[in-house]
Amino acid sequence: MKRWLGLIMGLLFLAWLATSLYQVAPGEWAVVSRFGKPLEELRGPGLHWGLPWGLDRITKVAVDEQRQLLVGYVEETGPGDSLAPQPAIVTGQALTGDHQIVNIRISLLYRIDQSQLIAYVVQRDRMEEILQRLAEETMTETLASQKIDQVLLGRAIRFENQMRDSMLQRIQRYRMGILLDSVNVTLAQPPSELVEIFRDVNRARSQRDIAITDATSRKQTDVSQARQQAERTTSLARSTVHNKIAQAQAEAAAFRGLLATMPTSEPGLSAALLQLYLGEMQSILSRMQVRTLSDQGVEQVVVMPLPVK
Amino acid sequence: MKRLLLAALLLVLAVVALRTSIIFVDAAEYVYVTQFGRPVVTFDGQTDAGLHFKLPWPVQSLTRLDRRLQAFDVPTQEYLIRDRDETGLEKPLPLTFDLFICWRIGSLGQQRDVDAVDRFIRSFGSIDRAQQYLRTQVVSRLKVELGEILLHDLINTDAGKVKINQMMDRVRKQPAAVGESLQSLEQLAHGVGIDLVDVRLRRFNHPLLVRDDVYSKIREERRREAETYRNQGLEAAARIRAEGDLEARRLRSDAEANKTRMEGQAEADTVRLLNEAALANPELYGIVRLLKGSQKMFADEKTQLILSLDHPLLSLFKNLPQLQSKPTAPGDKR
Repeated sequence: MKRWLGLIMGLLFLAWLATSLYQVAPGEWAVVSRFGKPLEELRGPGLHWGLPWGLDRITKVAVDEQRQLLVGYVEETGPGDSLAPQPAIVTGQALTGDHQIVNIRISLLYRIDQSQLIAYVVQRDRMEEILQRLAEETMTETLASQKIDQVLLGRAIRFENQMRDSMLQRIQRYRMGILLDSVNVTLAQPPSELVEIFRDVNRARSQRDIAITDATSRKQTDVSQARQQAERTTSLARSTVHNKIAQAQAEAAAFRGLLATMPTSEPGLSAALLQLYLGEMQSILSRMQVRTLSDQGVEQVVVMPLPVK
Repeated sequence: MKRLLLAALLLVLAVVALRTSIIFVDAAEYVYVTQFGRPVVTFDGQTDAGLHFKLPWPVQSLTRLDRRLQAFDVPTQEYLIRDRDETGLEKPLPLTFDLFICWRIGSLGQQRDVDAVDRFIRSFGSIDRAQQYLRTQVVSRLKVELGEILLHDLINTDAGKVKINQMMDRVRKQPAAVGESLQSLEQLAHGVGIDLVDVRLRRFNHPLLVRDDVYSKIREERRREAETYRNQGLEAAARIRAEGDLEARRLRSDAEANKTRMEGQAEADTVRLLNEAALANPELYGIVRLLKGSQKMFADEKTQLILSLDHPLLSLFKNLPQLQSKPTAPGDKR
């Protein structure tokens, strides 16, 4: 009986001793608190010896792990919850600089700062609730100077950075032992009561833009048509002018040619003139329908063409 | 048997004595040791973490206190804020405020002050009571500060004019009358062993009761805005179209004017060219022009010419041709 008791005691003691052996997974670092005092030296991945349970406390932290915290507006749950008292202040609702109300949710991405691992381990249970309040406060303050349209239309980058910067200062001051990688607005919308009217404003805005685009393209078409027409008019005029001048030049040249072949003195001159006259008259008369009259009184009558039957 | 029982009792006593005389001080806490109620020593986890010893219970006993940063919320408060409208008229506007307070046991601006723990334990003894105290104090200071500001110090499109942070800093730092002396909230907290790290505005909003009114006001504003956009669209479109018309008309009339100018110039050039040619023999030119002109005048094939038989051109029908004089040279008449 006594031997059994001794054996059990011995086994329990061995089991207790065995708790001094611990393993740290890849990507993790362990802080060892010996009698409550965190040891300066951190333990990396691998198998380690320490003091058994009750003397050492091992806290393993995945240092490189990206952690996310969502802060702000949460969609209202279904009608099942309607009996629950409405909160006096809707979470994630903030007033903007232009006196509007916006529902907003942001996502924080952060990691544990390895150089401040001990500070983090000490503060760790409180970390998220403080970070959340910090984020809410920063959100409230940042939105207080924004215009709602900029928030809703996704031009949030500027104030995302602003939020990050102001949170970074506070995280340092509070010695929270984390690195804040980014702050992103994941949701921004007007309260459900106002969604319809905001949509209408957007619609009106795009209607305006469409009207302007339409008018502009019509203007372009009109102008380009007019330009083509003007081009045509000009080139037509140019060719007319060209023809006219060429004609005149030809005429002048023809006259000079004629003059050169004309005899300069009688009787050759009269004969040449007669020749010229007869040549032209023949060409005219050969085209015309010539009728004759024997009446003495009428010398010459020109009759204009009759309409064709 | 009796001796065995006594031995066991002694062993238990020894274990208890040993256990209660060893202290593990955690980095996250203060350990406050008293001897029959009189404070003896305070271990600060920041600097004294680790293994320590004291006299066994019940001679010396200890209290553990969290030394870490604590955050807690002040329940939603509703206050009236002064709001100035466009006419400069001030009217009160109710708003709800949610605050949170960050604090730790300790003293203002000092990393290590074990007396602070003593002050804290004398004043409160527990975290809850300390938070109760802070809540009351913060709310009364906040009321004063909110009385000082206008709505546009809280929300303003000009970021430089938003005074939320300054206001919350003043809640903490602005001295106010406490008894006979002037003390800021920070200093007051310091006196009771609290390091008041931050008092912050978590959010503020319109109270639920007036929210419908606020919504309808916003809705009205937005409706006007939508109207403005639509009108802008119509105006801009009309303006652009008119610009287009004007431009098109200008292009066309420019081209017409150009055409007229070019043709006029061509006319002048033509006249000049022909005149130059005519100068050589104006008389002959006149005859040639007349003949060419008649060519053009009677260009149509349907023109009928009715001639008297007496016309010289038709002399063939009346008389046989005869030479009145001798021909001069064969080259002159081809």
